[in-house]
Amino acid sequence: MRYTPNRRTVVVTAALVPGAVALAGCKDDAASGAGTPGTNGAVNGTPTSPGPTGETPTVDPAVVAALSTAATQVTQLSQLYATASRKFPALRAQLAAGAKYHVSHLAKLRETQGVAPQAAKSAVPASSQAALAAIAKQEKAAAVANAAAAAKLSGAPARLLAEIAAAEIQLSTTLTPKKKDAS
Amino acid sequence: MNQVEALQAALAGEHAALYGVGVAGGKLSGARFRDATDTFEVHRDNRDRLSALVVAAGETPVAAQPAYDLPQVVSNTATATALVLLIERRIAAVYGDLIEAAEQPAVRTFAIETLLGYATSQLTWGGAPLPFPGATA
Repeated sequence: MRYTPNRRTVVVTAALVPGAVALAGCKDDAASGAGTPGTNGAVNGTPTSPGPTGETPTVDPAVVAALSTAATQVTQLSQLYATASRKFPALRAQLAAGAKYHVSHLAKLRETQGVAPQAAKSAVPASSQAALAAIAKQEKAAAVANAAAAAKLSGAPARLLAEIAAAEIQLSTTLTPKKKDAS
Repeated sequence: MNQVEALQAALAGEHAALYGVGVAGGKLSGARFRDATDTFEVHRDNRDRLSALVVAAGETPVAAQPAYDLPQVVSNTATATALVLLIERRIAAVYGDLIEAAEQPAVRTFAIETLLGYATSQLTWGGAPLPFPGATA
């Protein structure tokens, strides 16, 4: 039999157990669009040595390289969304969230000193359904790459890449054309 | 927050998630009940994995509470579904914390894979994509 809580047995745990935020701890804001990740500013300027006062902090080159690679992928995706939206206006509404989120991703990645995406080209297939499928496929590939890159980093950069990968998984799943029911 | 603290926080979150999904499951039927069962099993597996990681770190895993305050009344399919979606979003943020605090590659990889799993689960429960799943709002 399933246990049903009542007013007497339910205890307030949010303040006692940090992990209980899963149920009652934080603001849920799904509609906020660009959102503010928990990595706020944390990727910027990690000093590599306690240099003299006034020295410009530097970021680990491996972190810059990983975030720059991610930024290039995001740029490619952004161009793909833009091109597909221009070519197939009927897809604009469906592509709006992804296009907006990738702008946020790029902005967040560029907060880290030295991160510079490379120029990217994108070719859009001839039909709208093929374009959707191509974007979904590229989102998934980017998610796999970013998740793998996140595993090789640590701290805030790892979290940022993992969150971007998670967004790309969601976008890929949402944009993947649904298979017709065989039944 | 160090790795052990983040593991304990994630474990506490999984305890709470199991409770919430269990309550929600009681208001669901058919395909949604099966989804809830699957979701419950994922949380249970992750709870067990986290417990093992805490033990491996030489600490005592945080225990579940007897009950948890739910953020909303669960009285029908719609409210039950909304609760599970809320749980999946909030537990994702706990794993975001774990990714950031992870000191061992195996822990970080587990946290990343779990975050991606919960990001996908959010869609199952009616959620729309988010710009940064796993971010602390």
